[in-house]
Amino acid sequence: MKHDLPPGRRQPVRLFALLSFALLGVLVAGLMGLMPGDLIPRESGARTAMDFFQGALHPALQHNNWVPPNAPSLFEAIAAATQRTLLIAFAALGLALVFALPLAFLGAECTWKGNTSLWARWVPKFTRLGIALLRSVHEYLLALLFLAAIGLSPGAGVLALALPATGILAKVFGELLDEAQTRPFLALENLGATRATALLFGTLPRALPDIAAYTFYRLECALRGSFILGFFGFPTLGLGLRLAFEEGDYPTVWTYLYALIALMVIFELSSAAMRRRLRS
Amino acid sequence: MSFPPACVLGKVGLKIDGRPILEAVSLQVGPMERVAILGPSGAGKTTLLRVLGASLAPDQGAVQILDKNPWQLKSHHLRELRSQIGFVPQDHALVPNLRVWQNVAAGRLGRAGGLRHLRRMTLPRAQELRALHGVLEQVGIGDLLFATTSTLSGGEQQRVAIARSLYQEPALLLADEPVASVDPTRAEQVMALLVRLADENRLPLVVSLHDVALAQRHTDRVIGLRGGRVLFNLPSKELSATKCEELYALPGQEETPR
Repeated sequence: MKHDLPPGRRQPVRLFALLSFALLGVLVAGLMGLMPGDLIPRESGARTAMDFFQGALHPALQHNNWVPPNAPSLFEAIAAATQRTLLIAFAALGLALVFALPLAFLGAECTWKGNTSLWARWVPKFTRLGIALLRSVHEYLLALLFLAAIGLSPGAGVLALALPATGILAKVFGELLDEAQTRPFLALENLGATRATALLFGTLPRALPDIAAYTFYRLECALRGSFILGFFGFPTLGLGLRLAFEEGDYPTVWTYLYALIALMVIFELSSAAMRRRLRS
Repeated sequence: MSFPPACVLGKVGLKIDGRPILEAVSLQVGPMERVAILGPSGAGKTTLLRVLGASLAPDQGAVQILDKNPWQLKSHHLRELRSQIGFVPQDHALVPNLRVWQNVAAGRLGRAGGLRHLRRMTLPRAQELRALHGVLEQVGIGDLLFATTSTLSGGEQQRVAIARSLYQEPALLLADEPVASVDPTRAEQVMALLVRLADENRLPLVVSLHDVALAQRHTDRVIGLRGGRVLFNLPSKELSATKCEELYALPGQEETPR
């Protein structure tokens, strides 16, 4: 007896697509001549690597090179650099947050759904274009541009981190808003609320825990970004690291790396606690 | 009676995606009348309620809600009209991670307010909290004022949705399948609550239901809806068993072909 199954896919193609993508990656790596054996260093390289990792066991506790007699100690220098790293990251993300939320609403589908006006046609398109443009240039490229244009001011560093952060926050916030349930929004419209009010109190609250969690994640990224800005000469932790690295002063490099790791761990612990409170 | 009827529909027709959902539906809901809309699944009960709630515009026919034609009003007047209609949706449509009092306070978001809404929803005055608590007491869950909405049971969440509609201070109360997911005893309770609230606040009440006996016990009039058409529109006491069978008959079993 012929037995017909109903139409439809047996299983989603996602897993298959993911696996073939991974296989393709390995193949391409092989074609480019990347072999596991290449990762074993030569003798001189091995020595440098040994020096570097031995630095991890003996991080510098004071300046290893010559400094002016009344210069701050290494720890004072690191504390001041940490403070500047934090300030630049927080300022950048605060600025990004202020602009990202309105942009997210303007670019989100849920804001304009069912609205047939010309505004509804073009505002989200242009907003999304703007958001894409903000994201398109990497923060370090922007840092170089602002360095040339404004010079080595904290504002240049903040702006370099803030612009791409605005773009990525606005994009993700918009997606989170569109994913939130629409039933409360519709119920509020049905009891006479304006669209803006219904979005603010029907849609946003549901997305808010995720928005907060993602903001924390981007703050972490901004902290790392702020650290790296030091490589371009901004007076954050990265500057000390770069200078020590250039002199082959690995113990001092490790002191800076440990400072970064401590900063990230403290941040992660406090943000995890904060997220837990936001979720409950 | 000297008051005008709360709702008047005249030969209302409505299609969704080309499929007729309502056809030539005419009915009236008097002031302070309690009406049940009966009918099998897919008969168009929810759609009819949404037309009565001024949230869905019909393709044909005349609609008069609280003495106004909603679809001839300017948008801010339509919002004003909607703010006078309490609608308790079947799925409650609450924001799960807001507090109970916030979901109830949302009932007044239809009023003019602008930025004041932000304060009312975040930093309510003591007097506002007392009013919110009072409404929750009316539906029997005053203790849950500060609870997170998602921690409530389905029945409690429904009461929050009812409280939100009451807090609106509406002139018309609509409830879509309020007893769809509760046991018979609780169904009786919920209906009694809705009727009591409608009486206390002198509101006309329209409820969509499956259970004929329940409707007969609690409402003045029953409207039978089948395939988007009104099959009967009778005082509850006059509803006969044959009419009920006809209403719920499976396709192909209809005794009176139309």
